[in-house]
Amino acid sequence: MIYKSKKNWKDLVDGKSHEPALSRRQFLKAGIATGSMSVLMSNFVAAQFASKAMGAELNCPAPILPPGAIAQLFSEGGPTMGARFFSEQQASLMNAGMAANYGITGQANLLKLGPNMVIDKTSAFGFTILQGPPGYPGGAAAWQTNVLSKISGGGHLGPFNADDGAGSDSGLLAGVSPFKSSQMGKDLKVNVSNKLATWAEGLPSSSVASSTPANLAGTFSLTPAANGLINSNALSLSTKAANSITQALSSVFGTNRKGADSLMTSAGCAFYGNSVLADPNYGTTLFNPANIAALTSKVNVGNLSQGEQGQLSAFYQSAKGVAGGVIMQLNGRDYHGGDPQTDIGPKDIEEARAIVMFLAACDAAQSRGAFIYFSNGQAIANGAAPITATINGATQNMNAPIAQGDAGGSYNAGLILFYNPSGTGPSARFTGTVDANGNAKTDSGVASSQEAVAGLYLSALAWVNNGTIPQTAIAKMNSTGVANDTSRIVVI
Amino acid sequence: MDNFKHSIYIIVFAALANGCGKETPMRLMSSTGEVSQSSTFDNPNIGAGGGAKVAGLGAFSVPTRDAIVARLEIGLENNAKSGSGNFARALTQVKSNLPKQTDPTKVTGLDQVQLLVYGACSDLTTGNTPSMKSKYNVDPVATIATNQTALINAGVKMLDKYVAGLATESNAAATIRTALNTLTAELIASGNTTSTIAFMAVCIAVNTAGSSMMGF
Repeated sequence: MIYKSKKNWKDLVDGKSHEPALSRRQFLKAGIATGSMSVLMSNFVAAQFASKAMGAELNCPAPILPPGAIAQLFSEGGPTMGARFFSEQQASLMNAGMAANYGITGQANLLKLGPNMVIDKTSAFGFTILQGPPGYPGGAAAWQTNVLSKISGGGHLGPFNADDGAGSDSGLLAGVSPFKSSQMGKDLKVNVSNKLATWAEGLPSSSVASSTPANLAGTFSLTPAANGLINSNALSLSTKAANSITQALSSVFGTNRKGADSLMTSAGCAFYGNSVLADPNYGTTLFNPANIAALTSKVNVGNLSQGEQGQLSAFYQSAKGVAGGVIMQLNGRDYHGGDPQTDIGPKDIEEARAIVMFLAACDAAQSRGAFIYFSNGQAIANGAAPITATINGATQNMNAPIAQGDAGGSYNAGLILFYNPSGTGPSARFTGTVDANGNAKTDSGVASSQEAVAGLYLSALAWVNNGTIPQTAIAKMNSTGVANDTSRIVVI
Repeated sequence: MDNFKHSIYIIVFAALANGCGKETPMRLMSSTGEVSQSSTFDNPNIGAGGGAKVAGLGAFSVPTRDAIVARLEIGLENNAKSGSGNFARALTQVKSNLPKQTDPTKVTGLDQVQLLVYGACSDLTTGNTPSMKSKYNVDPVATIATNQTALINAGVKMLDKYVAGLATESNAAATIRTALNTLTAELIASGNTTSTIAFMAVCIAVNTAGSSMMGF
């Protein structure tokens, strides 16, 4: 039999399911815990907010010497395709009309140097590439065997179609520091006046108007000379103190405002990079190629122009990991209508010589290299004209484009040249296509010239970084709206 | 036993929380100025800016070339002038690379500020009675240890010119003196360093901080 009894409110009050009453000890324990939390938790939480607001730690790129050269040559204006490498697809399609539009002689004179690295060996550009630097051991033949056989190429056909004024200042120049670590922690910019890519604004760099050794050395020296006034250790300790002082005052001045953390990081890291300048010979040691045995053993540097000497040493320092990248701008490339002998030929040779200096530096350093090479737009030519020019002290016959007019960038290409000291350059691709006239058509995956530039830089970083793209570079590009899909724009 | 364990938990948490709370804000450059050596852009948000973080406060601005030069003259109490001496020569060297933009997320050339400061500070070490001695009581022929207090005072005095006296009259004063004491102590410990070099190091530290790292 089951006996049922209806419970009333007294049963609920006296129910045994309740926890036992709080003892005095338990009450004190809970009170201490709550009291501690009320004091400490606010401190803890506030610290987290403060940390975020003030930018957390100062993180500087490690001052190490990772080998690998990266450079960019930007030609303001738009030369012809005669001053460029061709992809193998372009070379295979080369017909008389296309060759005339490009300002070269034609299929018969094309020469493949490496994967996607085809030149017209009779053009001012191609001929100069083949000669190499003055004094290379074994001459041009050895240069071609030892160096040009180790290059490959890739790039983006088509997106640089905003010719001349429309393409100027559209953010086609960039940089690689701090994504590429180096002892200096910054890039060298030579005659860079056009607008940088948005993601490259604020990247650490030093600028010179021209690439003479004196200009470059002067940028990396102290005035007056450091003797008796400072040394590397004292300068480094001074930087540390400056950072501590700024830190101490940050709370006083409310520097938890937008950009404060960026300034403190940029300035603090930049100052640390100056400690090497306390050596009075630092600049000339780095940028006078006559002082660099690895270069003098490969190049008769006395036969180079001052600008070429500076380029050679700057590229070498990038290759050795002393500097980040070398970013160069050449003006006056809107040369349509110019004279092939006195205007167009010399300019095409100047660009080719810059590439020769880059490859010679990589060869001397035995380091990987990536050379980014394009302009804002391109000119159309009507064939080529014979010219003579002096290369490495000898007068030579070659051909220069007869550049007729702006082509609205129809023939444009953003190129990247890879150098591998250990053998053939890496397998790289071209995006985009060309038609029977040689006009370039942009790949649908490359949204803009800015995307193409980002892709070329990521490709360069990947190559010198043994195949790994620094995520920091991608993040920085992403923050400005580019490189959101690296698979479309990276060419290796 | 249960109470004992509970107390331990509280103590451990208190230690953690208190440690973070006091140290984390200082970890921007850490109390000793040590920096970690990794990528500048480990935090992708750095450089992009995130809007004003404190209501009512605007964005931070970087002094550009002319402002830096003017600040430096004031910080050095006009003992060095941008139109003459090493200050002028250093300015000629670095002027094209000094910061040109006020936006801290885009500015370049901050490294050149320190080179300019170096040149300007060097003017205080020249002459039979250099300013480092006549104005800041740092005797170039005495040891750093002998000059240590004068060196710290010199640094604080210069810094005060940038921050309206707050280097001595704020809750940061003690930390600033500690930073300068650490700097001079490390220079003493390094050996083979003169008081002139120590003065230069102090001068460079406070004037780079004051002229370029405080913003507007």
